[in-house]
Amino acid sequence: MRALAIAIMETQRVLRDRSSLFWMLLFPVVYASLFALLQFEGSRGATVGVCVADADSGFMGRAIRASIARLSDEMVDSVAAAAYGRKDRFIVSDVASSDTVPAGCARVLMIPQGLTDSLSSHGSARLMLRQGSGGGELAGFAAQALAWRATIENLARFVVAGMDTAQPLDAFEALTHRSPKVVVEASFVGGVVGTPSGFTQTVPGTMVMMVLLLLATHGTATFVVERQRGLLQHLSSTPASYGEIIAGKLVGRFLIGGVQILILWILAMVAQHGLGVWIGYRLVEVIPVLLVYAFAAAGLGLCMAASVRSVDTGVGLGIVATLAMAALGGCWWPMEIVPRFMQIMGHVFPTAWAMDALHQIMAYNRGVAATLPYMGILAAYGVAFTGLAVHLLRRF
Amino acid sequence: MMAVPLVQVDHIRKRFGSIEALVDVAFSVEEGEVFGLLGPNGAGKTTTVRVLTGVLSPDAGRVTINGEEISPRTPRIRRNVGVVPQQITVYEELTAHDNLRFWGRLYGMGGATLDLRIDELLAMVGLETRAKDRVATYSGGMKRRLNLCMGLIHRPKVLVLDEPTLGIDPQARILLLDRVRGIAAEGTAVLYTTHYLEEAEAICSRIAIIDHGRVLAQGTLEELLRVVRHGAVIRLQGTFAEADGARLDALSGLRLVSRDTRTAVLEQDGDRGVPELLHSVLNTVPDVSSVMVERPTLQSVFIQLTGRELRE
Repeated sequence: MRALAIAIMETQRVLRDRSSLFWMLLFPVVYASLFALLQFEGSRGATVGVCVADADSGFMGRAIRASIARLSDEMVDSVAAAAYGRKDRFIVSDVASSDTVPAGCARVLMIPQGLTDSLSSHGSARLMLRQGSGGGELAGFAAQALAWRATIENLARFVVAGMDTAQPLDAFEALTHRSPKVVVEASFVGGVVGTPSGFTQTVPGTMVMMVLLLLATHGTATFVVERQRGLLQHLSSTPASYGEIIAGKLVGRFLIGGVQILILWILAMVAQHGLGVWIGYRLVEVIPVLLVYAFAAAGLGLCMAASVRSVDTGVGLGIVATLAMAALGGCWWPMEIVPRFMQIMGHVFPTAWAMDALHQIMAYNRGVAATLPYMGILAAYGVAFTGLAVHLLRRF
Repeated sequence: MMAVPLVQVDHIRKRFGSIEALVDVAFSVEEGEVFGLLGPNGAGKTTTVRVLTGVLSPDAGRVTINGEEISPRTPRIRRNVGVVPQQITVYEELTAHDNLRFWGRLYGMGGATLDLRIDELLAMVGLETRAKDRVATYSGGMKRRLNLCMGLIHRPKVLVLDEPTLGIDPQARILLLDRVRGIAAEGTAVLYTTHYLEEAEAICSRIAIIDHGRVLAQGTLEELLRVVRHGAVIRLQGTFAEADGARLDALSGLRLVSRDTRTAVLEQDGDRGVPELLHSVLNTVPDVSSVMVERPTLQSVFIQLTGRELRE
């Protein structure tokens, strides 16, 4: 109970300090948003506009248009999300001609007049894909893939229907309702599908970095002040044992990390479900990973606090250590884009294991079970750091 | 009937590396008594307090509180001791109420009992109207008063005050000393360390003077004053001839310390009372313009025992 009293008091101290609220709440939100929007082009469930200018009066034009609409729903959860770590939304709209392309349209598929007639008479036709003004480069690729897939699919049906029967239109219609005989399913070796980007990268990165930053700087500074002002000595003169004091300090830091995680997690949920900002898959399942990470960060924070004697040194060490661990641990950019040796080096720090675990859930849509090995490693870090802190704190 | 000693410090020794902080410290503090521990910087007062409060283990000897030995391995015994350290040990981000609630919980208190005790203590030190304010907004004196409350929250049998009036104004000091007297009157054994000798004279029933890790003398103020080898000092101003010095030195019960043509300093040396001595002096040397009598004080005893050498 005494350890709990110490832990609650530690949490109260941070929550009543206005500067720590800035670091806990405001700064992480601004930081994550800026990095996501500026550096990674954003991953707000990007809206990909695909426009169709159908000048054909026959069934081929209508069929291609219908395929684009159907495939846009399928591709939402597959191609774009898998390739770019984000969840795009396709908006398919019709335009009268390529001269009237609405804003936001990434690509315009121009179906020429007489397409059906030309194909029926074994003639040739030219479909054109024009670049629109909406979306970025990735949105353009996604729209292009969608348009070509719809076109090729219908051309194949047309060929098959024309070869099989004297009534190609009926046969074509029948084929559109038949299940495909061959399905090509793409998967990626090792389950790694693309590189996390946008908010899917910056939100977990910010959480991991900010929890460590708070515990390493504010947590260290408050501890040093306690030692300098004789508060630790005073605590030692109460019935609280040495073990209870250390446990209280550790649990206090864990609670502070937990409060910060909870605040940022609620904001992420509101952003995704309320504002339509794509943060990642299975957000509820990141909670256990973050809590285990908070334990490791609490132990690390206590170690830092135990090893310095002045506030300035503590804050300086905390900032430098946090920035190094954040950068090398993949909080600022995905680990996939750095050289192999940097990836290995980064995994010396708990931040890298935490980011790996969070990506498993948020970017790759895997359940919490897939993160158990990572959580085990993080817990081991927590135990090791706590042991080291106990050793360093033999005397207050 | 002899009072029961609540604190028994039994010839403790403590060494930090090559530094022998405590060589031989022994004293006892009884129920309802304010016991003063005086000594220059580095004398061993704080180390004694740390051993006495169970923060440090002595290398030899032992300390008992209410008959039970206290040490870092016996946190349960510390329940009987309240500590008001030299430094102000309050959490400035929290309110006075939150601080006291926290310290109360460390002593196993809670609920309405704790709330009542907090209100009682804050009223005792005049902080009841500021109970919900952050301590960071308090003056130094207010923080000191809150610090005193923290040591008293659990109604300890023994209260250890380590220079509790350091850096506060005279009004706050008077209030604090008054409260300490009241606490002792309720039966608490108080150990009071201070640099301010007048404080020790004012509130301590017994005093120990410590230096270089040893208790040099202890007892009541009267007992300590007897340690001083001389009696009252009589300072004369006037016009003194060579022969006056010899006549003054020849007076019974006095010893001439120094003399020049304008001043003469004499020390009481024997059992003759000061009025009688003054009468003799004025009859011996009539050309005296002023007389000043200085009686020995605790400071005389302190300086005599610990010397005039500056301490770091």
